[in-house]
Amino acid sequence: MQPPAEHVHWLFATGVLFLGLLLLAEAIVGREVWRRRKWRAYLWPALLFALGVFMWPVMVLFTNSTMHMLAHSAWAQVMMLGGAAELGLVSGKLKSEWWRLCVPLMFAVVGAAFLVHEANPWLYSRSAFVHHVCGWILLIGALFPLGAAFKPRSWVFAGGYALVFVAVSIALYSSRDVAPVFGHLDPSAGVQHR
Amino acid sequence: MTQYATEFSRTRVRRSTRALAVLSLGPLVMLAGIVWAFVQPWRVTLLHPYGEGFWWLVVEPPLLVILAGILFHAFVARPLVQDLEEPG
Repeated sequence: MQPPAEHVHWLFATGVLFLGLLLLAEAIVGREVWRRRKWRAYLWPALLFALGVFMWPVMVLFTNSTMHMLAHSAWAQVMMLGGAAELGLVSGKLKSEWWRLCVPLMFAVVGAAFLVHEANPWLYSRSAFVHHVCGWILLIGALFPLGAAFKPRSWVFAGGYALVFVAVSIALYSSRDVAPVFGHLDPSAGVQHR
Repeated sequence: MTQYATEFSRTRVRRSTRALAVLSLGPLVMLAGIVWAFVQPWRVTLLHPYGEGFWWLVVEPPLLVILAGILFHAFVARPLVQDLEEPG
């Protein structure tokens, strides 16, 4: 009953895509209009927190290696931290704007974990390529939420922040367990099954 | 046109553009999912369901993309545009 790893990537891609759409809509209309309905202000931080919670079963069930387990648990923790910090700020329970740095921290940790736990080179297989791409998108993309934390009205930072999520979701949708990338598939990766 | 009318008109144009941008996000995502389904039909296992396992039938990426677009448009974009076009 355990889903194949590629299906888990696609499910998370859907959550990340929806998160990107929410942030893009917020960037377009501005924070004031976005928060005019209370439930909407909680929407994307709650989704981010939920994605962090769903990362825990992934950590428990997909234990290919210790590094995989550590990477997934790091993702789970920082995603929950990022979501919780934003929830706290929206609800007014957290006052300091410094809490906004939790999201860029999350981007940096998740990006680094993507790169660290992928032992194979870029063109080893599709999966390896996707992990390298996601890692670098998130590491470089951390600059957008970092900028947004200091300039919350900047459309460039808010829009870039949203588009990083959309780009990661596209990369995750393209992930396959064993598949070639640009015609390359290392023989040790296994046999392409579909 | 008075100064007030000119400013009011500019505000209306800006709001309409933003509303249009928000309202186009969901359909664009749905369109992306539909195009993907045509380009890679083997990703939509409902078209050939026999012999497929549970997860292959439940998790079909192009359909997930279309679903995300529909949900976003119905439950987020439309109420958001209502708020955008109502005076604060």
